[in-house]
Amino acid sequence: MDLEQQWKNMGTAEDPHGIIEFSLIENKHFKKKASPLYKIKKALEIGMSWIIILLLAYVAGIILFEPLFTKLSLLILAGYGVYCFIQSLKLHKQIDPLIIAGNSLKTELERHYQRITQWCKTQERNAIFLYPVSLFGGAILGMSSEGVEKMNRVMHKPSLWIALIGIIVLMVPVLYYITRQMMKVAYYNHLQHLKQLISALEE
Amino acid sequence: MSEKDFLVHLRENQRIIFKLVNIYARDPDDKKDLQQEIILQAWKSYARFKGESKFSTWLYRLSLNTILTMRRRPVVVEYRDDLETLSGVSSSSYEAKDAAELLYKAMRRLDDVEKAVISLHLEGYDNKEIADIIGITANLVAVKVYRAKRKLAEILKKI
Repeated sequence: MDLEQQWKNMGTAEDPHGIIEFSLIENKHFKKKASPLYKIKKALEIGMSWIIILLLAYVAGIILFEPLFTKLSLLILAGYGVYCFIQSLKLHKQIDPLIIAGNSLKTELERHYQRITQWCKTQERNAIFLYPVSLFGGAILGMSSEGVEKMNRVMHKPSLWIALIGIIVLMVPVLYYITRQMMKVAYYNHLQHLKQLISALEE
Repeated sequence: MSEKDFLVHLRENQRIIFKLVNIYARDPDDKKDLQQEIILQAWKSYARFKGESKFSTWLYRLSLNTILTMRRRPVVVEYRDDLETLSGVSSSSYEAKDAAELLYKAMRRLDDVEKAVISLHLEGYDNKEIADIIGITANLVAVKVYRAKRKLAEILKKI
């Protein structure tokens, strides 16, 4: 029997290799989705939920805290939160976790590669800004709780600003490095696999 | 199209999923995971199927795209184990089941792109159709089919 005929005869009821579990569809009982794009989309949703919670806290802070400087600082933080939310929402809308059968295999591999890379880059970019912004916000809130007078006094101390800048200079590269490593652990192998497949198709 | 239509179509074409899963995975758990992911993707994407191509072609494209974009763990083929198993197959027991098993094992030794190309070729798709499914030129498909067939023949000869 030639290979073509043999291949066509395979996958019949007599074939011992597994049987499709139609009960899965009939009972709508699917296991947790394994697609990396599903996972990224889920992570974006969780991230956006946290941003909303933080934004609500900032708004509460703006209403509750008296000093104008605190209100302005919280407004900057809220602005950064809104920016992060919009970026996340944009990416969330761009990601279609379903496999597009109308796309060729190469197009689908490239689409997955681009979206995962985009997600990693967004995370790395956030890592650069997150620490300074959080530190700044935390310091302002901490000082506000001590009262306006004390806050004004502390704000004029150069040592405070040196300490803040020092921490930022030290922590930003550390945080950026940690985020990169985390992204590598999570997606590096999969991205390499996709890249190799794209190259293999072109060879 | 309804859920009932989908199930009818899927039952008629389930051998596509069987065969692809069997050449891309060896471990029973991996096979089950892949099969489930393909069914889930097909189920969710079915609303997008407008009948512009045959359902079998649509399912083939979806299955290949799913397997190659989702698979995280490469198939580890232990040649020694395989050869020992295969050498135990006597000519008298060389029936359809064994022949299918041999072909699955041989195809698992090809690389991922070769598996895709050769499975489509054996399924009866011409180079132009394969080119459209894979996303490369028909000339390149011809080269890949030739190489994959030669490699497959060599593997089968060794067996």
